[in-house]
Amino acid sequence: MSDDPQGQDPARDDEPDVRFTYANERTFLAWNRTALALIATGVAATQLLPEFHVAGGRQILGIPLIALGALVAVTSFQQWRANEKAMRRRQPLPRSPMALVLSIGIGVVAVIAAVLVVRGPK
Amino acid sequence: MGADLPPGSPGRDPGSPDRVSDRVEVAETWDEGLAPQRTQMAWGRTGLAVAATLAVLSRRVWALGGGLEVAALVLVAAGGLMWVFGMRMSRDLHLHMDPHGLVGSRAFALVSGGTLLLAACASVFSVVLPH
Repeated sequence: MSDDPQGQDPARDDEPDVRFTYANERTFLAWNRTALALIATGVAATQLLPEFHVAGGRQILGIPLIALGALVAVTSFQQWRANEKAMRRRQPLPRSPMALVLSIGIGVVAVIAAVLVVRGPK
Repeated sequence: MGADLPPGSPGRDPGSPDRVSDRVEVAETWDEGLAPQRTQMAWGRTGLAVAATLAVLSRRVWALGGGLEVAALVLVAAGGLMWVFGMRMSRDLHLHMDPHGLVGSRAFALVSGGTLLLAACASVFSVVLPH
């Protein structure tokens, strides 16, 4: 992988204001922290929660969180690259669907958790 | 975007220089403000998140037994090391870049890859291994 997000000669693009580059980097890191939090929460759910009446309830709760964390980790890098590319070419920053995906994912996990809690522990 | 934005701001035509040397001059006129410190702190916060995730996963590793814990520990450590190397690479780029803005995507790919490896370990531990 090249250091140049465009895969071209860096001299062909304009160097963006470093403050925007730093902001893009911090956004990437914030998404990465979100991914790590989802992964740790997923593992904790499968490891620390009591058994539910539903068979495999802890896994049903934890695995989607871990999968969501993996998805966020991958897309955060793609989003960073896309933003960097747009800034260097003075184009509008691309929109990311990840905020919506994350909201829906966490909502779904919350519903699963509610159902498991209502059914009660074993 | 206001009219007083510096050259290089998205959405503004700054009359960009054509030569790399000109670009370096432009870069030196930018005021970074507290952006480097804030970014450094963001790396620190993310490092703490990585440490917490490693701690949660390590707790699981030691419960494995039967020699599996060594393989699991290697995978978890690899994820952590990828993250650390990515962070160091990014820091080196920040220290030596001229102009400053070109951060290597290799560093961020390593960081994302490390997080992805930790996610893979977490999935395997949660699905395959008994409690």
